[in-house]
Order: sequence, then C-alpha cells, then structure tokens
Amino acid sequence: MGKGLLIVRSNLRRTKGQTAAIIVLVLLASCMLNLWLMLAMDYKQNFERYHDKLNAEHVTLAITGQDEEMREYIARTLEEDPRTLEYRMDDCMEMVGTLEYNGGDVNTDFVIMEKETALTRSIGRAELVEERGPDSGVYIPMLYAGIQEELEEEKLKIALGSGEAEYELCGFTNSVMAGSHNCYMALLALTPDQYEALKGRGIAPEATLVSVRLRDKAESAEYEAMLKNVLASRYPSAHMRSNSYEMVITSRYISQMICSGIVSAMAFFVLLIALVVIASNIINYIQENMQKLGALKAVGYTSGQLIGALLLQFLGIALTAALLGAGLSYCLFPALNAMMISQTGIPYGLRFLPLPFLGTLAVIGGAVALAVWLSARRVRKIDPIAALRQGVLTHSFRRNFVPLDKSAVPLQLALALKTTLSVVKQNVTVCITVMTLSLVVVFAGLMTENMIVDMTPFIQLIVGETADSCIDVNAESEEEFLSMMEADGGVEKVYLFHTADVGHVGGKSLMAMVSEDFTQVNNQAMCFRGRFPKYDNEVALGAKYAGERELEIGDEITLTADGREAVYLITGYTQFSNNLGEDCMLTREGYERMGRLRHVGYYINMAEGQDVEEFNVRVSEALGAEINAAINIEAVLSGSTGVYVSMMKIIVAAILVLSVVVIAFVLYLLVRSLLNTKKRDYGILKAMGYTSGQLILQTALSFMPVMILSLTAGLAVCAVIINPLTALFLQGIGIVECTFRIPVRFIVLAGMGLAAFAFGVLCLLSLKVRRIAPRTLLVQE
Amino acid sequence: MKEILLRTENLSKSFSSGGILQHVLKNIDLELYDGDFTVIMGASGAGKSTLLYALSGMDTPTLGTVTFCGTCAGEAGSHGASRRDAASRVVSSGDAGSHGASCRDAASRVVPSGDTSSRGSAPHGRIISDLTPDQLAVFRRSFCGFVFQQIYLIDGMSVMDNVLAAGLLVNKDRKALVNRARELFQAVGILEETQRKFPTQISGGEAQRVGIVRGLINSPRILFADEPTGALNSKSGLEVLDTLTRFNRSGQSVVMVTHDMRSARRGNRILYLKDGAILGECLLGKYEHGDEERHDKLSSFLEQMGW
Repeated sequence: MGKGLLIVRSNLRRTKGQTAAIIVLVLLASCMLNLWLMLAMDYKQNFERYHDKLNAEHVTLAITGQDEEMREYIARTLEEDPRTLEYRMDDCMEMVGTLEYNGGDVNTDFVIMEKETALTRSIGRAELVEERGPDSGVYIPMLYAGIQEELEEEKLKIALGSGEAEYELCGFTNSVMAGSHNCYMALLALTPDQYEALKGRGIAPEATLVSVRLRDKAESAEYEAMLKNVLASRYPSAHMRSNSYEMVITSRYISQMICSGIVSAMAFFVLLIALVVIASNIINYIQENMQKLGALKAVGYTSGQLIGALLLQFLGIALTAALLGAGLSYCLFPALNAMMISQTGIPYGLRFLPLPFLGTLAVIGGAVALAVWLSARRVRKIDPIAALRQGVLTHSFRRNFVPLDKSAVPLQLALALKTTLSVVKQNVTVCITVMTLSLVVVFAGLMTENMIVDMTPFIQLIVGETADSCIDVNAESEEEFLSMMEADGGVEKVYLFHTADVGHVGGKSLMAMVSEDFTQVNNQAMCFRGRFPKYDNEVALGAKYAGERELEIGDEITLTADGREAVYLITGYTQFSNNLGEDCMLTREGYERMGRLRHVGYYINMAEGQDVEEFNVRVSEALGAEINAAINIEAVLSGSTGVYVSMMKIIVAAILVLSVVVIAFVLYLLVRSLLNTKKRDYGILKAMGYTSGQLILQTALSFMPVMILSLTAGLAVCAVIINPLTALFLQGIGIVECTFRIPVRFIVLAGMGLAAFAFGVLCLLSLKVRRIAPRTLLVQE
Repeated sequence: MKEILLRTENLSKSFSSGGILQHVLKNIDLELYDGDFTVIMGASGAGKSTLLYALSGMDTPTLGTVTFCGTCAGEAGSHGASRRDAASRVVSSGDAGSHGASCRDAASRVVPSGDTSSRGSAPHGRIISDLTPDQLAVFRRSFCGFVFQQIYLIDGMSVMDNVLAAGLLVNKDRKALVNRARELFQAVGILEETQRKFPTQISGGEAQRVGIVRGLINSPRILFADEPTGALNSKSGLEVLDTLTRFNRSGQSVVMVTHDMRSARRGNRILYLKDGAILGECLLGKYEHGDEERHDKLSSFLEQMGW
C-alpha cells in the first residue's frame, strides 16, 4: 500500500489540471445524483409523513347539503363498505371560485370551513403553517403561499359563484388532501366571525365534508368512484367535489416527478462523461508512461499493485468529489424545494438523509472503480523489457489517413484530419458528450418554444380546451343565456364544453367533457387518435386510463352517472392533464342517456378587441344568481401554468449552464490529453517551421469533424425522439403522445452556436501549444 | 571569395539549473559560408548542439546576435541559381518555380518591420536572434533544413507525408512538390514502396535518409545536421554521410555536429568547440574518397585540440 501511495502521489503531482477537471465533473454528477435520490427517496414520502401526522383521509368528498337524513345515508353507506376504516363528517360550505394568483387567476372548488373545525378534525385535519397576524380573515392553502408578495397590504379577494368576498390574509394551512393545482379543491379556513358572515350572505351553499380513511389506500380511486356514484344516484341535484389519495399524491408531485426525471438524466449523463474522461485518462497515462510502468515492473511492482495505485488514485479523487458534491446538493436543495413547494403545497424540512448519501457514494465509487479497472487492465500486458525498449507501439499502421500527396484538402485541415482519424477514444468522448448536449439543447429549445416564448402548445397539450371565457349557468336559464350570447356582438363563438363526473363501472371515477358538437371545440388535437364522439353511444377515452385498463378503440365500456348506466363505444383517445389522464368525452345526448345536466358550462370565443372581464361582469349582472361561475380562461391559465413556466425557465437555464460547464471541462481534458500525446509531433512540426498559430488551428480543427457530425446527428436524432421522450416524462400526468412543435430554427442556430463556441473554447485551450518549444524536444532525449 | 551565410557576434548561451547558471556558449564570433560543409566537433558537453540550434533559429541566444546574410532562391540572382543548381545536379531536375515566390513572402515576414530594405543585402543581413518564436518558425521553414540524431519522423504519418508536411508549408504547388519529393527519394535510394510505409516500419538508415529528404524538400540555404549518424549502424551511417556529401558537392551548404572522426572527415571546414568557445579551425578542402592526407591532417588537428 505504501508503494501504491508513492505512485499515486507522483501521478497526482503531474496531473493537477486533469485531476481538478475530473473533480468538477464527478462533483456535478454526485451533486445531481444526491439531489435525485433525495427527491426520489424522501420528497414524496414527505406527503406520507404529513398524511399520517394529520391523520388524513384517503377519500375526501364535499357534497352540498347538511341535513341529517343525507348524513345518515352517507354514514350507512360508509359503514357497510368493508374497505372503510374510519370516517368523519363536518359542516362546510362549497363553491366554485376564483382568486388572483401568480399574475393570473386560480379557479377551483373551495371547501370553506370554520378555522377551529378545520384544525381540530380527528380525520383529515389541517395544520397552521404560518400566521400573519390578523384576528379576522382567511387562512389559505400553503400552495398559494406566493400570494402574499402579490397582495402586499391589500385584502385577498375571492370570487365565489356570482358573489365576491374580501378577507385579510391570516396565514397558510397545510391540508394534505384538500388542494393541488390539478385536483381542483382548496380549503379556505375562515375565522369564526367571517365564517358566520359568509354563511349569512348565502353565496356559498352549505355542504358536508366527508373524510374517509380506508384499510387499503390503494383502493382510494375505486372507492371514490363508488361513493360518488352512490350519492349521485340518491341525491342527483347535489353538487359534489371529491379527491382520492391516489389522485392527490400524483398531482401534488408532478413537479417532483419532472424535476426528478431531469436531474437523474443529467446526473447519469455527467457521470457517464466523467467515466469516459477517467477511462480515457488512464489509457493515455498507460500509453505515455509505458517506459515508466515497465521500469516499475522491472524493479518488482506487480500488475495488481500498479492497477491498485490507479484505483486508489481515481477512487480517492472520485469519492472526495462525491462527498463535496453531496454536500453541495444540500446547499442547492432549498432552492429546488422553494421551486417545487409552489406545486406540492406541502412543507418540507431539509435534514441529512443517510440513504441517498450512501447511495450516491456507492454509485459514484462503484462506477469509477469499474471504469478504472476496465481501462487499467492493460497494465497486465506490459512486458517490462519491451516497454523499457519502447517496443510497445502506439500506432496501428492500419491506414495513412488523408495522404498529403493525393488529398486536395488544405494542409492544416489535412493534418487536423489525420489527428481526428487516429484518436478513436477522443472521438468517442466528443461524440458521447455532444450527443448528450444535443439532447439538452433540443429539450431546452422545445421547452423554450412551446412553453416559455409561446405557451399555446403547452396549454393545448396539458390543459386541453381553451377559449376566452367560460360561463357556467343553471340549466333552467340556458336558453336565455344562449339568446343573450346570440345578441351580443362581441361573441364570436359559443359552444357547450361542460365538465361532469361519470364513473367507469368496475373502474375509476372519470372527468367527462360534454359537448353538443366536438367539431366546435378550439383544440381539435385533444383527441389525438381516432375521433371525437359524434353520436350518443360514443365516447372518447383518456389515453392514459385506456392504457391502464387495456381498452382499445372499438371496445365498449359501461359508464354511470346519476345512478344510471349506459354502454358506449370508444371512438378515440384523448390526452390532457386536467384529471391526470382519467377523463373522457361524451356528446350531450350521450351523457343524458345516464344523467341530467343541472348546470351547463359554455366556452366563448370573443371577437377581436373585446374585454373578457367586462363581458363576464356583464353576463353575471344580467343573469344574476343563475350564473355559477364566469371565468376569464386566459387569466386562470396564466395563474396555474405560470408555476410550470417559472419552474421550466429555471430548469432550462440550469441545464444549459451545466451543459456549457460540462463541455468546457471535457474539452479541456481532451485537449490536454491530446497535447500530451502529440507533444513530440508538435515539437517536430515546430522544428520544421510550423507556427504556434498553425498548430493551435490544427488542434482545434481536429475536434471539429466529430463535433459537427455528432452535433448534426445528435440534434437530428434528438429532434425526432424528443416528443416521445417528453411524453415519457409527462406520462404520469396523462400525456402519452407529445405534439410539441420542434424548434427547427432554434436547433439549427444552437447547433451552429455550439460548434462556434466549441471551436473558440478549443482554440483557447490549445494556446498551451505555445509552450511547446522545438528545443525542448531536442534536448529531452 | 565565399559569401557569408550566417554570422554570429558575441554569441552566448547560458542555462540555469537548480539555481546554478551554466555558460554553455561564450562570446562566439563565427561566420559560415555558402557551399561549405562545416563540421562542428568537440567533446560531449562542449556546446556543439547548443551552437547548432542557436545558429539555426531553433533556440535563441542569451547574449549576442545571429545574423542571416543569405537570400532565398530568386532573391539574388547568383544565389538562387546556385541553390537551384545544387538541387538540380542531385535530383536531375529541380523545381523551384513557385518556391521562390513563397520564400520571398517568408523572408518579408521574418524581417522585423522597417528592415525590409535589407532584403538581399548580404553584407548586413537580418538579425534572427531577435525574432519571435513564430517569426523564427517562418525563418526555419524558409531557409533551414534539419537532420536529427533521433531522426524525429512523425510516427502517425507515412514517409511521404512526413516530407510533404514540411514541404507544403512553403510550396503550395502540391503536384510539383510531390515530384520533387519523389526525385529526392530516388536520389537517396528510398524506393516508392518505402515511401508509403510508416517510419517505424523502415530501418534506421532508411529513416535517416527520409530525414535528409525532409530537410531538403524546401531547398534550404543551410542544412543543419545534428549527429546524423549517431543512432545508426556503420553501414547505414556511411550511406547517410555519402548522401550528405553528394548534396554538398552539388552546392548545398551543410552544418553538421558530430563527435565521430569518420563523419567529420566529410567536411571541408572543421570547427573545434571546447567549453563553449571555438578552440580551433581546420580547412580540409573538398572531400575525396580515400584521401589519406586529409585524414592525417584532421587527426593531427584534433590531436592538437586535445581530442
């Protein structure tokens, strides 16, 4: 071991720059690896911890009405189901509403409770996360914690149905089952005075909040479907909003899933690059130090000792860097957490996590040890005598690439090409690095074009249907509403696009989009395979749900609503993330085979220049209490999707910066290694009369063919696979086929920019050529 | 009277090693003449190679100047002609048509600004010891050829490419250059088949003859040879010496460093270096095979120098 340490010390002293570069690469890889493992192994588990701490329910359901008969019926239903462990019912109010958030509006179903009731319920209680001071007002979910910056000193305005309420913001609550950006339920905890005042105004109907804990949480979705179906049959005029454990945990952790996926991909890419660099370093080291290694063998060192010294050297470097990287991840985690908490809404307390830490060290250590062992094995083949006589050839004599007497290529380029074609390892490293970088560039381009610059493709894919305004009106006033729309010159198009609940018999509760004519909907891409339903016995089914249940186009399914069942033929697959892929589309006639629409949601396209807010106020005033909701869709979208856009901006910036750092370090190592290998050749060429500038150009040019080819191939391939790959990331939220626009111009410009950047960096890194003096070459032997 | 090609004044070179300054060359004043086969002899560590590298622009002196008084082909009528003649006589048909133009460009680049008027004015010349590394590189490619003891061919290139990599720096006419390389290869006895091989696939003697072809491909004013036979067996060494002698006879100026008397005998001017200074000089006249008198004269000179 002592001898090995001597070799390690000597090697480290000679390769300070390379060691530093490897440390940076491994540090980045281990930092991201630890972040990923922390996200994967603990972040989502945080939900479970809070779920247990708050004795949260597995199914939560708010139903309008508080009469004893209904509660007794609900209690009987729950008690008769063997899956029920315990349950609780409390008074609340329930109403669809809107609040201003994140520069837009958030439209959701508000479950309004008296503060003490919310905080002391034995099942599904909320906890106070932050109190701001006022004695009278409202506590809102932590999900909307960012709102306090927007409010400043103002009161919080909440539109509830056709009315509006204003409150002082008292603080934030954490209620694990009530509230996420995708499950449309949010808890408002009012101080007793405000609760009574709102109750007195009558703008939010009184309701019952049912919280059920199950014996097996895996059955939450089916249980929710059963409960809704049973209650809908018995109380068809009651309005219901429900959540299942499965739906809430998935929807709260979409950002964790996306971040986790991106961070893990980047971690493994950087680790792969670090391993390639380490392997290439060792191979070069063996080639360059053949005589020294031969001498060491001649004086008695065994191959095992020499390999052991390399293992010791690189494992030492890698594990030191991994420790630093894991430490760095703890510094970066709060920023990542702050970004994701706006989506999860669950507080997360950072603490030391031994398992991810050990996992990071194990992965880095194992991978580096394997790479070192695989590349150092050739030490065993070194024969001391042959090595000492410099008898080990480093040139394969396969071909004289780009012969100068036959080729018409300019001299500098010809010599650069000779280098290119003779350094396979360098080419492989460049190729892997550039391919990785291509994926990053294409992904960044895709997100920039489809999300950051123009949100339309993202919204169309994720949100589904959009228009200017959405008015929900009681069915009794539908004709009056439509006449009013016909008479309104500012209305361009009005069509039914109503959201209702249906159950799949033997399956889950589904969100149904109901329209009279799907040719009218703005986003025809919602049905991406097959076609929209045309007739009353047809349904288009969410692709993710269909995939889970192995339902094909042409199959029949039985749906249920208001206690009645009907069979439908599947005509197509739909995709959007509103209900995480658990949705379907039905014609109005189709839906009415099962239930009756007691209120209807109409989407409205306004004529150019019309003010949507003004229009909504006009309609609300005209129809008064007949209007359940008047939503400015654009404002709602900018509020809810703003969270994703902000997150994506940070991710795009981070991965681009990281990529630039990685490529710069990889090129640094490759250039250094190439200059070491070609020191003698460059000395000879300088003696012949080549200037430093010419040799710098040759060095930089020698990387460019593989760089350009890899970039071209990488960008082309990534442009083709990026949509399927993104769909994989978004699978969890119901997207199975991505249809994002491929940013061709961005990709071409980025490719050219990258090539130019790489050439510039290569020229800078090659400046070391100036230090090679022909005389040094002549006196060194 | 012979024309001066290179002149040194107070040429000194020192190296610092472990804080100790070592004076390798001490105030050398020297003139090298066109068409000469100058041999620099001396014991190991006398500073022979250091002097050669300082003269050839491969290294810069610590003190003093090195002045190049020569011109390249086409600059001064008689010189150009004599150099072309040298190449022609050995390779049967020379081609320096485009070379002259390249040399002029190269020359104008190595001359420090404001000194362009001195082009072709041999008596004053251009001071090369003040040039930057890149200007020296241009000077070397334009006026010098090199033959090394370790040969220093690039392993990854074929024999032909090793030569063309040097030639294409100066001569852009690839076809003419390839023809010239082939003629030089023929002149030194390198077969066409060997030209396609890699340096490690040929013998030491062949490799050194390739080295000579590379040194001559740009028709240099001076061919510098540092112990060209040092790494070769006696048969190969003899072949290399014969080649150098043949080129010298046809007008090529050669400066060779050696500590081998058999090699030294080929020179017409022998300089003996001791402790960084020129101790003595011996003029032998043109080399003739089997000239015993020449041998005795050289032996006696070396004995006198304490060799």
